[in-house]
Amino acid sequence: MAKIVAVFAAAHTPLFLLRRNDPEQNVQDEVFSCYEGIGKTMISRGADALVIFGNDHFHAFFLDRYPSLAVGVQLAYPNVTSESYMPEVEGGRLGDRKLGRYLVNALLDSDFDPAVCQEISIDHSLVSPLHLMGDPAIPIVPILQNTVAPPLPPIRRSYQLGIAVRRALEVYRGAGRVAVLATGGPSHWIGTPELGRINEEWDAKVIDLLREGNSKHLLEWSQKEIDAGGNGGNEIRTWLSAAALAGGTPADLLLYRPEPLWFLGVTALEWRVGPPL
Amino acid sequence: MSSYSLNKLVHEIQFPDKRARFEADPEEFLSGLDLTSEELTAVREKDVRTLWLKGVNPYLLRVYQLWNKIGDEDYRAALKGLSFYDFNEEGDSSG
Repeated sequence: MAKIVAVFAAAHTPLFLLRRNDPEQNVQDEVFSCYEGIGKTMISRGADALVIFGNDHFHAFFLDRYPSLAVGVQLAYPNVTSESYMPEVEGGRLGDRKLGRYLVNALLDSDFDPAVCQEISIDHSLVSPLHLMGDPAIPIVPILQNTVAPPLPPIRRSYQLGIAVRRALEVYRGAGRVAVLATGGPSHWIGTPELGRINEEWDAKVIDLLREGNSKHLLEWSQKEIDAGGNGGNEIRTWLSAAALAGGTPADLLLYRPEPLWFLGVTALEWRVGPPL
Repeated sequence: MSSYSLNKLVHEIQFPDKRARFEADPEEFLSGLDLTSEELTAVREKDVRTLWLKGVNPYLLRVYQLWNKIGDEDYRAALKGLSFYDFNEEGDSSG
């Protein structure tokens, strides 16, 4: 019976590395100390596995067979070669194969059909936040949702996914203490004519709903309302999975710092973990 | 299928081995691909506006921009007057 010791959300961007020291010093200090704190918290709470709700950006997957949902079952995850500026961890970041396989089966039992990944590399969605968190040596299980290659699954699927993973973890005997990280969002425009835009109003709406424990209200948003947060705003799907996993409880806002040089409002949240679902 | 082929090309050349082959001999790399002459010209000229209009996914275009060292201001200028939301209205959002 695994205990959920932490549920975090944290934004990702390759610009954390490409333009690491370009923002004002106080912004760097605030963001880096927050992310370091998340990494230290996972370790101090004794997490022996880290489930990551993330997304690929056409590095591991392509349009030829883009999975709506993919789960890694590997012992290690190397970086993708198409983002050579991302910091490597020798031998790749550790993977919890056993938990990955367990979650695949549990998800199948819950009417999800994940692609089972034996040989994927990970991109900045995982690498950039983990690096800023000090690359905690906690074996990971990547759960990757399609947020980039239309057609995207309806947003409610992300919420259902979080519930399914929580229920599976509650009866898992292979790891005692599990941390959860959702990487992605809030609003951002990547590769579009609006490149670099930040919609603070949209960000506030989403974050307020999560803080109030009203994450379910986001399920009523149309794709058009989600797109008001840019193509990158679709990554709130990973946040919704975390919110659902925590039990739809309120989240504490650890950080919101709009940084034009990093193309987003850097956001970090921690959910209060509710009772078993 | 052309848009798919164009996306595929832009995707492939983001990986170092393929990019090296592409840069060593672009015409050899492009030969036999299912691309229109307009698309081939856009690739040869690194014309991100046309690539966008032909439906290259914005995430792929961003990596293309970075590898080709096109500055953010130049990129925005190249796509001036266009919008992510033009595609949305046609139900062709790039997510």
